[in-house]
Amino acid sequence: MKRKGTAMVLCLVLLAAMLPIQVQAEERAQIARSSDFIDDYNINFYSVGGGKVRIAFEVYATSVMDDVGATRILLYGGPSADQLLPVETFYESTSPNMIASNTSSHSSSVTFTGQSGYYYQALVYVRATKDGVWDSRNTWTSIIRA
Amino acid sequence: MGLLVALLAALLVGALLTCYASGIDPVKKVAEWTDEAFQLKAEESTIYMGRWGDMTDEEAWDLLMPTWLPEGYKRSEPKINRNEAFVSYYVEYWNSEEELLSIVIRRDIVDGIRVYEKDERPVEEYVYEEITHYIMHNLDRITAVWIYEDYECSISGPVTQEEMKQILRSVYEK
Repeated sequence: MKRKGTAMVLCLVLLAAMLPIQVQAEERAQIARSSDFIDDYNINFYSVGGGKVRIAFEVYATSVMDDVGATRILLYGGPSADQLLPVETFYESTSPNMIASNTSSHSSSVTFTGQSGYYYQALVYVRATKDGVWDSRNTWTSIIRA
Repeated sequence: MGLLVALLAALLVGALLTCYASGIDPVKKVAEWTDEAFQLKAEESTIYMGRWGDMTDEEAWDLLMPTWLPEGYKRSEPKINRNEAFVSYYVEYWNSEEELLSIVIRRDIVDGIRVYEKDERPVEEYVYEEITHYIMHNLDRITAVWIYEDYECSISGPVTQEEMKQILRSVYEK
């Protein structure tokens, strides 16, 4: 009786442990597939002078979305192009206008004040959400010099 | 010898001037795609030296918009976005089933990345009026992408491949 109980507990623990793996597999499969929500997106990353760099983005969705835009922008920088370290992260929750609601497209930008002559690169996450389901993509920019 | 050098220099300058006059973009873009995404990438590190063509953006938008769409689509007001990085012209067309057909005409002023979603079906290279239009599938939607002078153009919508080709032909049949 005790052994049966232990076996059942172990089975339940095993099933519970497999669940996040299955969710992750579905997420990976979703990422690898084409998109129900995003048609295309654009990113421009450039120096605006005085050590400042700007990331401008546009996201075009397949229909009106509950929200569409960029959710995170990770910025890496350093004195040489082969030694870039994280310097700033922009989040939709703290950077105004990164995400728009009830629309099929969104365009905006974020600006970072860095150091002239330093090198920078950005990793941009875009997303479109409808009825609680979302599609997200991320893209590295080229390395630029401020 | 000096005369030969001068003649060669004159020929070279003439060839370059002809390039610019005919709208050939010396910084060509190459199409690259996987099973999931499509891009037009500059062949070399892009140096934007100004405009290649002499059209205004407004003239380009008029020139590059199609004159035929499948029945039932109604046009919304275009959204124009101008900043120091790019100029984009975005038009939505909606039908009675609330399906979206969208057109984007975009000119990069600084180097940029543009990624189009697609599925694993092959990309068709449809050549019309000596311009290659890349037609791809993204689930229930078809997207066509092409370059005209400084402009990267795209049309995306729930249309058939043949309807998309008819839309594209109408761009040139004005």
